Amino acid sequence: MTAGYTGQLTLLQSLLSVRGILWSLFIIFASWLGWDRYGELMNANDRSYETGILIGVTLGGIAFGLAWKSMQSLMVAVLIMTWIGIVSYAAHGDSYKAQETAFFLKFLFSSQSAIMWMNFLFIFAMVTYFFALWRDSSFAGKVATGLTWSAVAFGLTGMGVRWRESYLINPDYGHIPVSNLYEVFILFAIITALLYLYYEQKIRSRSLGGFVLAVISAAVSFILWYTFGRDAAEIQPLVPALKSYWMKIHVPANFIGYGTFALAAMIAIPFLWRHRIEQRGDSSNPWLTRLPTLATMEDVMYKAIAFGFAFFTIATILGAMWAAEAWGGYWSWDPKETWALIVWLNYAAWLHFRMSKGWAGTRMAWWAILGLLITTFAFLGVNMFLSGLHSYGSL
Amino acid sequence: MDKKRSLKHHPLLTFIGSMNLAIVLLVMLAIASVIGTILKQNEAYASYVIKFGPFWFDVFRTLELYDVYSAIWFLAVLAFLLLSISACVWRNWAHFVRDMFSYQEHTHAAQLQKMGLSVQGARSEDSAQIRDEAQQLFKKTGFKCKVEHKDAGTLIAAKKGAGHRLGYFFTHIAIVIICLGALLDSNIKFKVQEWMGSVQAETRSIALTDVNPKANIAVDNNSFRGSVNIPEGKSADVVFLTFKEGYLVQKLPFTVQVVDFRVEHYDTGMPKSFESDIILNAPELAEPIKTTIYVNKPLYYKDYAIYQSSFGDGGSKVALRAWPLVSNQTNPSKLMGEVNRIISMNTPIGDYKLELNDYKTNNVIDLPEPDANGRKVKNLGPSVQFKVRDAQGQALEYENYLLAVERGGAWYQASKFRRSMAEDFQFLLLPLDEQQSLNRFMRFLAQLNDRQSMDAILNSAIENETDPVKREQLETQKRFMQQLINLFRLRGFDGIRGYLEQAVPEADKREQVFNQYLEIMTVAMQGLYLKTLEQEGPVVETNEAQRRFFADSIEAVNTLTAYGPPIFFEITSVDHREASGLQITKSPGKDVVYFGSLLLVIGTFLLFYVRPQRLWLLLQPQNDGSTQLIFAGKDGKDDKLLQPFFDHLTQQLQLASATIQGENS
Ligand code: HEM
Repeated sequence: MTAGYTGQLTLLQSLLSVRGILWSLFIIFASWLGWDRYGELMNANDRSYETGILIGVTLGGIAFGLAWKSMQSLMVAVLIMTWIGIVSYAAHGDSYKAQETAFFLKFLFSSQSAIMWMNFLFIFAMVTYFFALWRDSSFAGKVATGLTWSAVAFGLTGMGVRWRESYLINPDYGHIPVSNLYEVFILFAIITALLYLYYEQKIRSRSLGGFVLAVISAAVSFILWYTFGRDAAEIQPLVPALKSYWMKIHVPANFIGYGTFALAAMIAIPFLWRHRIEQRGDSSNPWLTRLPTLATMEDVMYKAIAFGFAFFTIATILGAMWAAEAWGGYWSWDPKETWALIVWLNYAAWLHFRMSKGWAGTRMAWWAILGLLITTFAFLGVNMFLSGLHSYGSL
Repeated sequence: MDKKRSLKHHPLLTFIGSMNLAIVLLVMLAIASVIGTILKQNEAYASYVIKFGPFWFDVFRTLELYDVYSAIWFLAVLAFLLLSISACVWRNWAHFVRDMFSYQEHTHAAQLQKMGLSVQGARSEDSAQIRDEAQQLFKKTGFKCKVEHKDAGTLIAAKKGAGHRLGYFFTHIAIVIICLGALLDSNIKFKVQEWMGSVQAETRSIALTDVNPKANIAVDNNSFRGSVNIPEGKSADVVFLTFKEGYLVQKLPFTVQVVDFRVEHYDTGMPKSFESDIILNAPELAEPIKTTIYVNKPLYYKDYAIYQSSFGDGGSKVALRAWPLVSNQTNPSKLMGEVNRIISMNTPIGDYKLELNDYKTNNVIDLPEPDANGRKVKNLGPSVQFKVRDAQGQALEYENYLLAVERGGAWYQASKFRRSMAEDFQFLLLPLDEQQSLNRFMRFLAQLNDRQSMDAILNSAIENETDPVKREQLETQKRFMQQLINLFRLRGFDGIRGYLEQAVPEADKREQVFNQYLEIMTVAMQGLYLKTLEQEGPVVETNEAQRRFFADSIEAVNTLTAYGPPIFFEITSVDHREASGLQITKSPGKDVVYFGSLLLVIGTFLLFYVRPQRLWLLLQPQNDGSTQLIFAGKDGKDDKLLQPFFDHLTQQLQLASATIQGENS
């Protein structure tokens, strides 16, 4: 697994290349366009914060694209698709109902259609990844990767267009679509997929795709049930407590954490599988050549959890700061808060065992799976079974 | 020095600072947190007794599970955790700091050769030249170097990523700081004062001046979190802190006046925002502070923060009409009330207390089916919640709506009622006449209550009968009808069914008899209804709407039998007075917690993304002017992470990459 040392290209170096400059200009242009068009919709009282966030997102977007080249194509595709969606609405008098008649909206880029495409593509990608693993087909693997990227593109487009749609229904309703359980499930699927794609490139193996896409497909099933069983896709106005710029940063940061924890748990499954094969001493088993080595999988698990833990820490702190502003106290032992703490403590313990006690192998893999169960309860179970101040996302 | 060292290695300190203890404590903390979320905290004790029974209620109370997060044992676990982390930092700091600054330049050639990453070789250049070249190479890749002469040669010791160790300090000290900050803001001092007997919760809802002096907290208290409801136009200089089963009254060094309070609604009727124009006045202020606060936008003044947290009624004035439901009178009496006040009423049917509890401007309900505009919610408009308590103290709960509601083209006055908290609300719908008033229904009801009126109707059928036998039959029938209608008026359809269960033993015949009775009764009541209509003007033939009104009236009379005290309160108008719910906090620990949080984030990134790495290059000049080299490297976590880079440097140093020791597949 030792990849050759290729020399480290710093962000600055990639910024100063022709592609880097073009990329930065593109993102700056897109942000400027957004600001020019929708600047006055930013909540007047929080406008300086909103502007700050926009600048942050612009710089972050540039850096992200420089650090991970594949991001550039994705972002360009998403911006174009979203733009087509928004323009199609504009061409039909900015009527929300246009999604029932206008071709591009009806079949591709209204938030409902785009999200349905995302759902379909994710499930299709999972099947293809498993097929590729089963048949050891590198072609099928490439197709699966392409499907996953497309699903992400459609998902992000759906979110972007939904943001616009919330203003079309009623300017009063307008808000970023990370405000309820339906919306954050989409966010979860997208972020988990992106994290997976990143590690797929890093370890140069597509054999883990099916496993990770399985948890994403579970989320997709939930989205489908929630959409058709509960009409959850309808855009609802925000309760006063959620009307804050904090939501834009607290929620996504949280889902980076959830996404990585899910990723680590799903990689634990092939890890345990391979471990069993190796224990049996069956060195001719064909899976041994298809799955990454135990060390690689363990490394990805560790890196994912460490990354997610860092973001989860930030998200929890941001949540506390928001709570201080909205509820009058940074910590109220509200069930959601408390479960975030439990999740955090769990992974802090996981990292301690790994870093200081040198625990490794199957124990850590099982623990990563247990971690996902705890995380799922914090994410979903609290909304279903416990009530509290965080009642916005109730099922 | 020696003493210190021995203290650091004292078994007790080793135990307290061990990771095993820390993990046990963490798990305890997690379990306690789970309990705290599953068991609803800080409810009324009575509701716990109902849930768990007296035995478990006592057990749980002794374990302080109803307020886990301020239970003594919970705080003790937290304190131990702090102690544990502090001990860990204390034990580690000296050698971690040494490690951060050291280049480990005393490493010997033999040790270098044994390292996981280690190569040897020779070059023809002289050692000084290679030294400069290597130093440049190391520095370019971010290493810091130190040159030392030893082992018959020159050693370049290089290191990178000392920040990793800093990360350990940052994260762990951060957790201690965060907990201390939280402790500053906790109510632990009240608990201590409670033990000492100087603080006692007030449990009664009484006027401020009557509050137990031991529940009054002076201005100089350095941290609290309390709330207060201030009606529009009024001001307050205290907040209420929830404590134990009651509250404490915290004095403020300023007064807050709520000038105006506003709620804005979405088109669905859901609240969109609520905000208060407030004036803060303090002796030290030349000009009072005038500002507007809303959710997510508090006012910060000195160490205090004033939040818009809720809203309620500030004593709305309610005008009512009390309709008697069991008399033959049709004129209601007029009343004026105020939310949060009680009206005593002496009526011929007993003494009642009317307690006006709340006025709601909007009642948004979910619809089973989307309406014509595709909406799935509907706003029923304003309502008044009240209780009617009889002389024995029994109360029924009501919610009456101000706006008429429409059902399939007809209009009604709606009222919800229930006998106890455990029951679901039941709806009463009184039909409204063409003037959208209750008059017609109430006149009909009065007729129904009026024995003479009923007699007159029934007698009119008998009057013209001359045959004495038939007349006798009709008399019997009339008495039966009267009984039936009385029964219906008192007990409703269920009353008649109950009567049939005794009167008709054969269960399968009951439905048929019931329908016969219903017919008989309906005929009589139709007569009364016609009389009611005739009071409004001559009736030739009843129309569809009037017939529907009759059916609705019968249904309403049936519901009225369960409606409780025989008065219907019609809300005629409300003069809305709002109260703004403010939360006022003083939390000196907040900035401490934020500082700790910042440290924690920085520390976490340092720990995960800074890798401590070391390189050594030992140059041993040979007699022929060439140089013998030993090149070694070490990664703080895993040599494999360093290996590609190490190989790269090996090449740059023109050494043939040797087999790497200690590398296992
Ligand atoms: C709730 C919080 C935490 C507690 C109670 C805790 C407790 C401890 C204790 C007692 C040790 C000492 C182990 C020993 O010397 O035997 C330790 C070591 C360590 N902790 Fe934590 N810790 C906490 C959070 C964290 C966090 C959030 C991180 C980092 C992300 C962290 C990173 C470390 C590291 C790296 C070590 C080993 C230091 C070394 O020997 O290199 N700890 N922790």
